Amino acid sequence: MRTTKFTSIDLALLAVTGVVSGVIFTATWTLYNVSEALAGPVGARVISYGLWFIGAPLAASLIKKPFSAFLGELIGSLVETLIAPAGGITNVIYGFTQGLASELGYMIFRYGRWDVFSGAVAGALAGIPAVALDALLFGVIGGPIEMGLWFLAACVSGAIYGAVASSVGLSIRR
Amino acid sequence: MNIEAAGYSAGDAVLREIRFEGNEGELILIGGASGSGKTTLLLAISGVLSSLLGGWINGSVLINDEDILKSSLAVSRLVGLVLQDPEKQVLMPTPLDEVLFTLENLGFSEEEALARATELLGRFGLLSKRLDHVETLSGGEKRRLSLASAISHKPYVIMLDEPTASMDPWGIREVRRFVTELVEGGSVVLVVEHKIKYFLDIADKLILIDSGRKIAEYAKKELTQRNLLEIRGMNVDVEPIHEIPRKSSRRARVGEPVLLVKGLECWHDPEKPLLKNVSFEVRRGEVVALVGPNGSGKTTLLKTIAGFHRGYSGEIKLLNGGRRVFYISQTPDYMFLENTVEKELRLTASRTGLRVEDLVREVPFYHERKYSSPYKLSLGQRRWLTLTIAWAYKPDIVLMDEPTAGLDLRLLNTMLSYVRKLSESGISFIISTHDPRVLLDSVDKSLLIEGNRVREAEPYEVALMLESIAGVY
Amino acid sequence: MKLRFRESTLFLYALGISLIAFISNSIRSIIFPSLINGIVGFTLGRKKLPQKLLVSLLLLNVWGAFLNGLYFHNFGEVIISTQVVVIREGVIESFLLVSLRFFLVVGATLLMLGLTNMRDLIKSLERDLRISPGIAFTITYAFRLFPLLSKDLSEVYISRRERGFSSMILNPRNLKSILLPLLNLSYERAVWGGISAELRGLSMRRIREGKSLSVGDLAIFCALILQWVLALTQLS
Repeated sequence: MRTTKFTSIDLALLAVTGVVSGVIFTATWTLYNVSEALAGPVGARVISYGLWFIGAPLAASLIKKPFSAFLGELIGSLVETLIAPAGGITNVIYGFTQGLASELGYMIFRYGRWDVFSGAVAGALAGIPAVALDALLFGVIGGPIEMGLWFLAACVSGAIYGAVASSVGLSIRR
Repeated sequence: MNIEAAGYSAGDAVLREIRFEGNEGELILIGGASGSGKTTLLLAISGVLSSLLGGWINGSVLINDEDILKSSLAVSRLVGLVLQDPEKQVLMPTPLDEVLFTLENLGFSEEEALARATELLGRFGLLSKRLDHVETLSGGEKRRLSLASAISHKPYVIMLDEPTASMDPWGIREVRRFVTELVEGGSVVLVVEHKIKYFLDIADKLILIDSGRKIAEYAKKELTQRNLLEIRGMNVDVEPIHEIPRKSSRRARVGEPVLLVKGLECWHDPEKPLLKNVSFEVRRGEVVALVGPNGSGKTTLLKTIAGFHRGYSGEIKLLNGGRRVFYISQTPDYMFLENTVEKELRLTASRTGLRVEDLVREVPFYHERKYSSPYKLSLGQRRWLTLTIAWAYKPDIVLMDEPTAGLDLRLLNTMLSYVRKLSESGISFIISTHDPRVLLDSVDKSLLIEGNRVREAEPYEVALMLESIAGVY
Repeated sequence: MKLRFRESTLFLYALGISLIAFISNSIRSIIFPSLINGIVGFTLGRKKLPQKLLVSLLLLNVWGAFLNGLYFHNFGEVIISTQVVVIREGVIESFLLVSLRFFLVVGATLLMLGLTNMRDLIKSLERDLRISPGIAFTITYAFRLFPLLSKDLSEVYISRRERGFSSMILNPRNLKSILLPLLNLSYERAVWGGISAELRGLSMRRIREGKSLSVGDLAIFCALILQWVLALTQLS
């Protein structure tokens, strides 16, 4: 029997993954700033961007219901905004779009696959809106090759961290 | 109440044929060891086993002739549940919201909800902190909050799941009073517990379960000395300390001093020191119990000795070639880094220079749990594994924070036998505890925290004192 | 007189103002909203958040904006030329624009955080914006959990140091070994928290009537619209 309604436990889990991701998101800022200085824009994206996308695979691998990925990432970004407003409310805008993109990753499997692979796909997809919003908001616009590299870097990073996050989520004791 | 059978997954029953009755103004005590199905029973009675956890229940739970398993809406109104650990029960950021939560959900009007919440918080001594974050409350205050919020809607049946599990004797006394008041007020109260001794004298009925079946039921007048002797064989903690014969001290075989603490003062806020002028020494192979109520500074003292707490002054010295102190948290889960027991031991071996085989020999459950995640071991096994890991780092002194919390009598004794074995090989222990069972035959000396002072005391005497504070002696 | 308003109106305001940052493409279009929200926001935020955090936030982002300009917009007329770097017009322009956007976004967020508290804000989101009670519960519960998880994190750090793995730098391996204890512990909490919530009637919760719109709300919406008009008319 598969239901799509969120139970009280699902909602509590969503809060847990939201806080865990929010804490990781906040820590990622330091990593991003350091790695940009050391490894340049492409390196920084590979090293750090995927960490900002783990809200979706974490929540989805624990809850396994439609919209769990979207809400996981969104609530993570909300928590991040409220504990350390480094990016202000734009975090929520990033979280919203990244969450939607990751949700798509689970939707294309018709919500039938919640394994490490779909987690990696969900993480990778979140890279697209992330780089696009960077361009809009922070003027991070380069030539076509550079842009292509950034998209690729963010997606690769998203896939790696998405896979890690969902493998952890799937191994939790129940 | 009548449960034919119940379980988590189809065809796989955890509980079978449990029937009993409770009347208004009665305390029903349900005893059983860890894993006997006690908690599942509570989840079944409240209906969440089937409505929320995807399990199944055959049978019925009748309250005033209405089967609450059939009308899930009624459950919340009729039942109040106090969970084992307030940490897990408290859902809202402030005490006021915590009490309001149930009332708002059940549709009380705003004025009435606020009036009731204010009255309850006042009764439980939390009114002045009603808008503070719950994490700023002390352990005792959090427990009182969990009690207050469970009865805010005046439920007919109140259930408590192992209320003494993480509780010090001071807290146990408070819960006993709370339960007594509820019973006097005419509620039906269910207490599920393996340390049944704490409730025997106020219970109207004792039901023992084992492997999901009811194995015995005693009415109040049947709880005689003879029957209690019979219960003793069933692995529940029924014996008050003063009935256990006192064993001789083991002091003879401890060696030279390895740790000296002198004039130590610890604080979180330098204006208000938690502990003052603490002095003691620990000898090689000695097992020292550090006893005090929750929040008295036990954990802080252990962390200070381990070098993880900065707010202190005074002297902490390792003597006679002592080099390493290893701190083990009450929560074993913090320590694991890997996904299987095998990898965990391999990693430990690579860091400590031991051979994997040496580590494997220390873990009795290794071969059956080799490939399972350390997080999926039972609580007793997880604690055991953390001690094995600590041992691998060749410490002179192991500091254990409440290592017996949540363990039943059998698991507690297993844990303590491992401690004894390691202490005989020359490792010293400081074990923080408020569990009298620890003090009986495994401890060489005890340090008692009173106010912000620490003094040495005879373990057996301390155990008696703890039981008397809890109100069973 | 104290102006009454719905806390959720402030949330909408902060969101609406932040969106200006996405459409504005010139310094002229963003300078007024940015200065207004930045100054008011940082003044109000000072009372609620530690000053050190705010200053380091400010410096970090200004520096980031400068590097950003240097990497991606170093074109146009040369303005400063040293042996190490050549700074052209584009750098200055991009630096100013990105800094102003940051000032705008963080200012608006701080304004919201400064004028309300979490408890009332979430209540208002549930009652006035009518987000589902389930989601409101999730957000509230997240705030209850936050200090617990910070404590977990510091305990995990202690255990790692005991075992000789002190590094907390995030990489896939460390992420895994940090997430494992956090999630295993929290999963158990969440299950019991869910049971507790269910038994206490969460699924019966209905949204209550919120506050009616007041002059205060209208004033906040007007301020939002005015700044949008300012930004839109100045687009280049």
